Amino acid sequence: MSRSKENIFGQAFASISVSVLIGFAIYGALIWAPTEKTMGFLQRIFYFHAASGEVMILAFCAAFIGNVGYLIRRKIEWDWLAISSVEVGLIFNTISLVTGPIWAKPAWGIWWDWGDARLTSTFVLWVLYIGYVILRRMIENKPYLTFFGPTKP
Amino acid sequence: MNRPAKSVSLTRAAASVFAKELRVEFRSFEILTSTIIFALIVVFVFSFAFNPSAADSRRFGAGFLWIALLFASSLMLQPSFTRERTNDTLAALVLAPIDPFAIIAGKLFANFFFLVLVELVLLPAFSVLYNVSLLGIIGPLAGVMLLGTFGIATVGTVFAAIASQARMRELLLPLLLLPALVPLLIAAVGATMGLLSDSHELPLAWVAVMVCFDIMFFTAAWLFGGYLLEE
Repeated sequence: MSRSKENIFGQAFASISVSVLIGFAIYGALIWAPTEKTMGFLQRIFYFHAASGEVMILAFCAAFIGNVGYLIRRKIEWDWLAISSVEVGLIFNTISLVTGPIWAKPAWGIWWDWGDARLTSTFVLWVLYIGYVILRRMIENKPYLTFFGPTKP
Repeated sequence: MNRPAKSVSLTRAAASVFAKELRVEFRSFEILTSTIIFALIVVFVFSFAFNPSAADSRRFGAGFLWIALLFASSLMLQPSFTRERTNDTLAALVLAPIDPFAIIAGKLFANFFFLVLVELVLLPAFSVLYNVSLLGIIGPLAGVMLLGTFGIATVGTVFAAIASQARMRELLLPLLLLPALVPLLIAAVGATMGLLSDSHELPLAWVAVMVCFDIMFFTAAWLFGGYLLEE
């Protein structure tokens, strides 16, 4: 793909504005927001933990729409939506799975509780989508299995 | 999917694929012998690793049994598609003027049948090695085993079809299959554990979960099975 000038400017604009927004968010979460009464400083991890969980849900919903759209319309753009949403969702899924135990250790006294349905199902979700991404990388370049689309566009 | 008019009914086509799978397997017994031996080894290894007493067996036996079965099936299901690759016979099957789901269904029921044969050997061995009497609960236990096995065969056949198109497919199948089977594993272990406990009571809630799982995934395989074999 040839990279045009607008594309570079667009990318530079996107990276700068995203960095500024992340800076604002960290400032807001760690300094600007008042300390919570019962949980104290620990509660601040929710600004990352809950938000990544929500982004994860949003991304996996987009992946679902992309996959269904690809099955119906058979346009490669739908498949791009699916795989890129899965990759984004997987990153935020990982963040919420890492920040969860960091919160749980002081709050529950243990890092991990297999009896907690949400924690366990999020972990299963993570493993399932890891499998999806690995599968996408390993599908041989054959026209078979358009269900998952070709490996590379 | 523009296919010509079906000349053979779905059931008859699936039955002939099923018969073909059985014929291929009974010529060599390759899959069955190695799967049975593997499942037995897993059960042996667990008993060496945990050295369970009769009371432990009643608590954890259900888990050992289902894990042995899951591992064995994740090994066993792959050849049902990979051995079609040698002569590219899958392409020939797909070209046949039958509903593509018939191919999936034939293989699915063949895998189900093979897994039941594995269980027929595995269960007595389990009963002896773990000192658990199964005679009094054989009826409900058979029901639970059949429901669980059908779920494994359904999800497993679909994922085997997907994984057979990938590199490292033998590694990939357990990776895809085991997380997808987690709900079934939880329900199957719950139901079996209830049967092995002193009260021998069958927890109907877990059975209901297994029935729902089987219906859901079989319907999904029916609806989307055609896409799996598409070229």
